[in-house]
Amino acid sequence: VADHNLRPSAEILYRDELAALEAADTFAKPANWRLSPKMVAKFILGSRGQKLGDKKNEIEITQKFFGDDALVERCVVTLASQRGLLLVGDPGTAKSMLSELLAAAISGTSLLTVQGSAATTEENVKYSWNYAMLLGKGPVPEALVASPLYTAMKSGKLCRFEEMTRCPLEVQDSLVSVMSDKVLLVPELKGDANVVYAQEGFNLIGTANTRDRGVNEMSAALKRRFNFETVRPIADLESEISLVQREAEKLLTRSNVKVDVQREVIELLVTAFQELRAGESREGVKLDKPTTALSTAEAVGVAYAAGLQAFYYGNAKLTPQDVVSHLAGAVVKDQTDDLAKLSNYFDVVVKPRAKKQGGIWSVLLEAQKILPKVEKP
Amino acid sequence: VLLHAIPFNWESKVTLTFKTPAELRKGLEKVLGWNTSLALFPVRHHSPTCALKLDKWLRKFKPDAVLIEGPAAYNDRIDILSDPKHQAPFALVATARKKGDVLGRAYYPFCDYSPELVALRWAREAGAKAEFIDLVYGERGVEDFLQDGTDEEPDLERREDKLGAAEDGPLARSRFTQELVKRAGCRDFDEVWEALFEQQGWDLSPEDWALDVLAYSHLSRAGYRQDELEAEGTVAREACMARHMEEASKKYKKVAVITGAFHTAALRDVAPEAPRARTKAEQADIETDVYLATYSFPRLDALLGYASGMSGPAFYQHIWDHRTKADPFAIAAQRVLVEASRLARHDGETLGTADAIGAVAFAVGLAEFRGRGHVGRVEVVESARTCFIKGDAELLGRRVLGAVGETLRGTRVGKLGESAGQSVLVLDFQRQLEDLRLPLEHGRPQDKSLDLYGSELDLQRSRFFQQCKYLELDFAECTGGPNLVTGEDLTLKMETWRLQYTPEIEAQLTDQAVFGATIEDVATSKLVDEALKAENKSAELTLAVVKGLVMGLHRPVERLIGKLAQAMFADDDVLSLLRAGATLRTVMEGRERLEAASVDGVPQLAQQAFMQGALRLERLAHISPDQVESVLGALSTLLDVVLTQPKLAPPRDLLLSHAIAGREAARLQSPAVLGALDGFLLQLGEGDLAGLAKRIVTLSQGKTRIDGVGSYLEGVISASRQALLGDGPLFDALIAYIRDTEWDDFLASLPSLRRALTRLSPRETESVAERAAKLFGITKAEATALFGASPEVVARLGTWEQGYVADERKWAADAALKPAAQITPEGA
Repeated sequence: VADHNLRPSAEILYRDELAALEAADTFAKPANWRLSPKMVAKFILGSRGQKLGDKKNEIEITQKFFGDDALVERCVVTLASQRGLLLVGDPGTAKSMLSELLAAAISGTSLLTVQGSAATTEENVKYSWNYAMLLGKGPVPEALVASPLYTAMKSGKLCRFEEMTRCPLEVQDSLVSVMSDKVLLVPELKGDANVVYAQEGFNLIGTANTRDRGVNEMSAALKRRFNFETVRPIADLESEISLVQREAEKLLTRSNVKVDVQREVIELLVTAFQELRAGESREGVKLDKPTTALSTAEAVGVAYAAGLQAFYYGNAKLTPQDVVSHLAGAVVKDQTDDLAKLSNYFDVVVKPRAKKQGGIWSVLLEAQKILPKVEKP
Repeated sequence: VLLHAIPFNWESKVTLTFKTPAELRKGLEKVLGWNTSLALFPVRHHSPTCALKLDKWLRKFKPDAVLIEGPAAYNDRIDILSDPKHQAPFALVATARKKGDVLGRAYYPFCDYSPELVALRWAREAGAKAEFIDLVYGERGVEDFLQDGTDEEPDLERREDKLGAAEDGPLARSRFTQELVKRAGCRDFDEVWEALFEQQGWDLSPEDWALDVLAYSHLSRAGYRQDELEAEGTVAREACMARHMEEASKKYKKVAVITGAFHTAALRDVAPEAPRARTKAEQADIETDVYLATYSFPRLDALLGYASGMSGPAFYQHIWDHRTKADPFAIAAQRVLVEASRLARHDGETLGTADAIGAVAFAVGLAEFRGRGHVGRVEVVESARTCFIKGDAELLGRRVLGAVGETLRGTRVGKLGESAGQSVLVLDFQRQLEDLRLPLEHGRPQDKSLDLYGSELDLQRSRFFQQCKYLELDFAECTGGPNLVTGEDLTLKMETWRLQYTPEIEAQLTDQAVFGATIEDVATSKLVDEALKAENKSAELTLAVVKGLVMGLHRPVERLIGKLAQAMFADDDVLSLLRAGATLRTVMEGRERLEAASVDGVPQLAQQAFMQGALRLERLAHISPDQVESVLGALSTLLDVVLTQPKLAPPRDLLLSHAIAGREAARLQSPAVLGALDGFLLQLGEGDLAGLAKRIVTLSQGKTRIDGVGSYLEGVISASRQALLGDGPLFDALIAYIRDTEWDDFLASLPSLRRALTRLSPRETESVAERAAKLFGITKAEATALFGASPEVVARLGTWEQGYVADERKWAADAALKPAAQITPEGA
């Protein structure tokens, strides 16, 4: 079934790895955890050459999160503690992916997820009712519609809360008692059913985006219940290239598209992303940073789109032209002057590099003419 | 432990002497030679684990002599270092000089958990001989100086302090280390070292620990080429160490050699240098002296941050202090995190005890997760990051990370017992601080308010701070209070200071030690120097007197006062005399605070200054135009004295005659001085407004200086504002000038007029304006409306004003060159 899903969840996608880790796990596990903290980290950071499982079904754990091993370790340690984990950072820095991986490895499911938005209500977070049943039978346990959080508390699993800070503040604050007392009250029910005690293993992973509504407005009471981790874009060029290439190839394969994704071209793309993100080129030329967050995920998106273009309109070989034609869309989101910044990048970085190194940089420079023209005011 | 974990295939290019872990272990045991009479112990500077292992080992091995990596030039005084009266941190400071110029300094810091100090202390306790065996000063540093070819004038940038023995340089940079960092899942050398040899090493036996460290150094060293080692200066230093080893093993039965692990790995194979070889430094006539100085944790932290040893001294001190407890690392982490949360709260973070508890638990959990046995500095920092920063670490983490840095670093300042004896000045400084009940710590700057009148202690403190300020020590900065030099804020009763102790102060003190043995002595000798330089300039001498008084140096001040009296007769600078008078008058006002009443001569001196000034009033006219402002100020002070303190003032007749003579001189020279003297005399009852009004007319006719009227008016107003305030001829003359002058000329003179009128208070200005409006026959409302000038006029005015300012500067320059009369004499 899973194989036909457009996007299978982490626990399904990596079920073999998880099973191998579980089988090899000899370390102590916190209550209700599927894997030990060490194995959870290994699941996310990869086994780095080490093979797991028996000779017939040998499997190497792939690295899924790049650039900051210590951060993953800290996340795991936080989740084993009494405090929740809140991942903050620019969009596209793999916060949600990390939270999904953590939930899959620790609880075996990443699907107990509350999607935060401006329209999120307290009912979405805690519980709501099946109104037909409520009218017929009154407030009885069967009429209660459990939220992912409710379910996670009851079963001692991890609950994910995406875009937590996009919710109205009063909705966020309904988490305070859950996080401090680890109980959820259901005053409508009678008897023992009106209190849900969180089972061991329960915890919350939130994500919050620093680009739009940040964590500043979050109440101090709630902040205190969380450990914060700031997820940054990958700083190491080599790691980011490998990641973008692998992820793009994975997406293309999934779309039944066979394209030759050359490392050289991906390197071009990632270099441009890293330099624009940092506001400085390798040679030390200062650049205007575009307002868009140029994340690794965005780079994967560009590579994927470029790959599709190469397959359907080209000769199934990824070229710098394919990349450039999707680059503008990635860099320029709502601010038109971002286009000028991109264009400037070609003038002050790509041009000199093409002159000096030639090769693929010259091809990239040649492709500049595909870029939309900057309108002069 | 590490021996087996070390990857033997880490770099194929390197030829390793030992092919298997077992072989390596055997080889390294031989290098250590713990069952021979010459045993080696590898150390890392400022490593608590190493210090503990070394201490245990020494107690078991019991050598007759310990040879320690340190400057051999200090060997004659080496026993001083282990004096139990000292409190670490302290440092040996080696200063390299050539022909008296300081080329550079190198520091060899010691703290309680420095293995070297542990060895020295053990030697004292056990009665063993201790000896330093390294070159006196980083030869490498000396070579740096020499290579420049700037022997005569050392490059300023190179004068920065250098670290004595940058052991970790080679260790940290070795290719093996890079590989190890990667494989151990660490971020840098510091983390790898801490994880493997501190956190995990703590529970090892001295032998296992030493073998691990030696294995690490051995493999690191294998990645180095001989030329690299030579360039680093390592070869020369090791040859020196080897010579000491050779000599010692002849003299003593059992010798322990304690050096940086990087050297230990090679020492047995190094050929000793020729005895009494001339070092490069000696060949280049570079003299080096080594002395002992106190040191502080913040300084240690900064120094270690980039070079040698481990940063976070307070953290490691906690570990050392609790070394007998089950888990000293956890105690240290707890201390640091609790203190950091307290500091961050003080800075405005909302952090409670629960957060601190959570952070400690987190740090322990993280270290456990990483299998590191004990909590390290890295885990402490990460825990604070995760548990204390509520949001994006980059945006919001500054205060928390600052607080953690501060608590890891600590504020401790070492203290030296009397045996150190090198710089009595430093001792005096510390004794003074103690006497004045000021705790010595190297933390944030502290603000101190002193009650100058109510507390004798505070007065003494103020005097001490003033002395420190005078010696240009970076210790005390005055942030408020009565200023006797400028006469500002004399009514204030409190003085505020910002204090910060840094170990550099001791270097600064040491540099000044030639001037005296106590702070007071040095301040006195500098003060006398300053007075000698001032010769007959009474204003400058007076300043020296005031500085002496605020520093409480009353005895030398008495000597200066005799000199000052003589200088006044010889000083022919009227401004200097009047300024001296003004300053001395201020001193009298602040007498209570200064206890200057005991200095009998001050009132007579002030009188003398005004007297001598009055005698030279004629010279005012010849003063360079850019000093007009000072002239006006000096005259108004003199006037104030005459009107309010007749006892200090010169006799009236004398004053009048010289002021009139001055006025005559000024008429040909400077409208501003002329105006000031006119106003001055008017206030004293000489002359009348009609005479002043006439001057306006005369000046307005002399077209050569468009600022004549304005400057004159400014002079008048500076001495006598009343001249313009009542109805009278001067006012009428001004109005007439404004009305009758041609538009362009008027505009041209407007800036100087405006400047003159700004000397009035707002209310006075308003009254003048009202009366002027009346004379022009317009109402107040209309007068206000006049300000609505057209943009063209405003633009023109702006241009004029700029032109005026430029011209004024030119006139000032011209007038200074040729004092020829430009102004038509009165009546001509």
